[in-house]
Amino acid sequence: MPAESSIDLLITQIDILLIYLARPAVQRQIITALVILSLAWYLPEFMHARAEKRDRGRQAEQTDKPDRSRWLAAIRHLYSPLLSLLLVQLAIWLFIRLGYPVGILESSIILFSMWFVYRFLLMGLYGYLGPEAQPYHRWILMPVFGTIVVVLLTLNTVGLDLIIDASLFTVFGTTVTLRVVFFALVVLYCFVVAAWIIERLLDRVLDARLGHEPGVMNAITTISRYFILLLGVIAVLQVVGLDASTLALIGGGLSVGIGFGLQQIVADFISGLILLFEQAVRPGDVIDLDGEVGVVDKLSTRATTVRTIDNVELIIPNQAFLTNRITTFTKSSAKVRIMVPLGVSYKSNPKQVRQIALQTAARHGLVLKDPEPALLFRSFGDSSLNFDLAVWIDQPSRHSRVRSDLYYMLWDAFTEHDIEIPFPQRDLNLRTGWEQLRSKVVATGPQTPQE
Amino acid sequence: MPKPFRLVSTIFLHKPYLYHVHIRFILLVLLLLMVAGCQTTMTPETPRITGRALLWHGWSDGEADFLEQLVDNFSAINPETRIITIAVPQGELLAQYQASTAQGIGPDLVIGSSDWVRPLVDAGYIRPIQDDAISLDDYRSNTIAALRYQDEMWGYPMALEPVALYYNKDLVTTVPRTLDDLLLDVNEEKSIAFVPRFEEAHWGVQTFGDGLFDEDGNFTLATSGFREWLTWLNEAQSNAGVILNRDGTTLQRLFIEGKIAYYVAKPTELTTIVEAMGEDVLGVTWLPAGPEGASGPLLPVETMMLSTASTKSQAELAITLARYLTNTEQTRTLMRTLNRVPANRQVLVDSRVHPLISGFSQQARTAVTLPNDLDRQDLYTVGDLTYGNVLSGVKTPEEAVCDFGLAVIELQGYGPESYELPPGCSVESPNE
Repeated sequence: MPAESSIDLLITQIDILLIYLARPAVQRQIITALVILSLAWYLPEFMHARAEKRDRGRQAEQTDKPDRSRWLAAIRHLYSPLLSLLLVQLAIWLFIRLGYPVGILESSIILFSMWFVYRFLLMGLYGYLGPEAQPYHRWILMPVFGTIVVVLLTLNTVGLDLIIDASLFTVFGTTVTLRVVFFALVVLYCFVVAAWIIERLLDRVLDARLGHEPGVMNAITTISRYFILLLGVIAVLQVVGLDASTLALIGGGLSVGIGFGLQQIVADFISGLILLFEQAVRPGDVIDLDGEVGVVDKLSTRATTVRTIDNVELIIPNQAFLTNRITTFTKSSAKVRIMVPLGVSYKSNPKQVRQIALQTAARHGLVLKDPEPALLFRSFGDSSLNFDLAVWIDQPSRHSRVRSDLYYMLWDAFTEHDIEIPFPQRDLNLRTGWEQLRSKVVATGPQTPQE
Repeated sequence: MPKPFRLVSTIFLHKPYLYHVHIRFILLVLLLLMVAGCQTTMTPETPRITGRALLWHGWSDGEADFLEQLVDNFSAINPETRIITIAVPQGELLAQYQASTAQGIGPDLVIGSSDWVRPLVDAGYIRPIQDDAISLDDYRSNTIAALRYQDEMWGYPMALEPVALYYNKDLVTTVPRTLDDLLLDVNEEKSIAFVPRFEEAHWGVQTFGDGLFDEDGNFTLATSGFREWLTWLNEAQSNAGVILNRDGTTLQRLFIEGKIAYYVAKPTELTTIVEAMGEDVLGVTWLPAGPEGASGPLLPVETMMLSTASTKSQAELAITLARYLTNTEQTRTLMRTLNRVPANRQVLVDSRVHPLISGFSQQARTAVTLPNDLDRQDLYTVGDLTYGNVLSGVKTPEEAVCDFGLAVIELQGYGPESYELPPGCSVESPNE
């Protein structure tokens, strides 16, 4: 007999489904199960909405005990499955009394029980973690529950194995079926979730030991994530059934593709790995790349995200960090010196200026005590005595803000102590035209500076 | 609006809920139910055969392909029908059928064994065949008896499956016709092998007596010949030429390899053995007779049974298909192609054309049908224990047969008027 195509098998399954659905016994049970599901789903929601409306005034009281209210909210997860189990038992009792088949309803008990277990776990998760449980809910519990439901439905359906084992396509001589695709996806998903969990665990463990080294933490977690994902890809290829020679063939094809089309991406990827290992740039570092100063936000394998002081994110290919000259303010130490140039009039006492400037700098919260600020006498200017106020800070990304603050503070301090900040002064010598200028000044009235 | 309706409408017609995905899912399922319902209401009014039906079987790949061809032929004659066949592993077929039918799903038609009749009828999973839907004249009385229960017929007989005597023509020149001849004929180089269990070794009971049950279904153990048969077997196993082993697979392999001259087995093994040995070297004949008459193996009948889960139109289509597959022409085709022993006696089995099938067919004439009100599996279990106890020397044939009788009486709840125990064996009352 020629092998049936996937479409034929699908049509066959639809025909079988129609045969079943035409039977009153099946119709009765499915409609009953749907009614139970709807009631179990919406009735608790409806009741909760009404109760919430009624108890709105008590919310302030509940906020005093956040743990209790969180657990109370989490328990709501159980209402629907419990109600469904109760209703389905009631329906089975009624069907048996009426002499109707109850097999589908009995089978649905397993599904409703699974629903209860799922919701029970959700309750524990939300009760324990609160809103932080959402990623575990979405990325672990929900897919696992969905997979179990699919597997349970598949196991109890005779003939479905035909469509599951029908050939979808062939890759390098290996036939890929729906079953293989399903298992491959499950395996890959397991590895993705494992990578995510291990990354979070490493974050916690390393944070306790290497909290002051975010770059090392990032390197370890990133490398471990990619390592687990690589294992996942290998496992998926094993599930699909590709042998070593096929993998070698795929590798050969990929290297040609990499050579031509993906060269830049691979270069960035390799650069990313070098950066991770070498630690030349780490998240949290303040760098200057082509005059743009910013903080390294995230170091990934292809590109690095830098957040500038204008809060603009720059996504820079990793290769740029290895080929360009980078200024880092925080490679070995985060302490940087800021020079604040200032000038005072020749009438000022330099010692008083020094005292006031250093006191002002010391008042700024971000200016370090050690090394202590210093006022350096730079030069006798044309109109002013020129100084440089040198202060140290350990947050290089805020140097502009600190400099601005210091200017404001110095202005106030100098004004308070009558220290003049002069503007440039010039002496003019008129060789000719002095007489005409004098007559005009006399005519208009203003007095000469000599008068 | 009355309060209950207001409550329901508040729950279900509230806008966020109405557009919720679950409501749409429920509407989709209801739509499917309506579509499926429309399919069924149209059929009764049309004179032509229409509709869909599902057939389950436990046949092997090659047999399944041929069955598919027969079904295609049926669909070609009835173009408005769609018959779907699904192969389920033979060992799982009964359990799968029971589980599915309990749910209201499962096939409209299942090809199974007559041994399933009682459990399926008691559970309400198969429907009886009306007298006008089957031609009983086409079948022998023992075939009909295999499918009769509670005065109803419960399936269409397809093929007979009694054990018979396979023999290797290279090793056997004259086939023994009696048990005495058999014992004289066999030796270490020319042995006979069979599985000493109740179902496979029942054939000798009737050679020494009247059989375990009379025509009215009474348990006639005293005159059955069971004790004598067990005695014969116990003595025969000391003969180097008699191999009694519960490992049927090994016995079949030894027979195929030519290390055994005679092998007692069902026709279900015929295709495998023919493929391995070839038809020329293989012979099949009826089992040797005893002092009281011909051998009487049990008669399992491969049967097409109708599900109670089907709608009326599905059942009508299933009946039409079952009648088609068990008619003379298709039965003959199944005999020629798949070595099925025809249950339909209108099919002539010419011993010159089909010598192997003919052997089984002749054996089926003297085969025995157990009453369907017996719980077969319990009976087989007790019977197997009886054979085991005697052949291992744990009990004498008299003791083992008495235990067997008492166990059957207890299992079936027979009253004193329904059984006859051998001398020295009696049912003790609870007060004693």
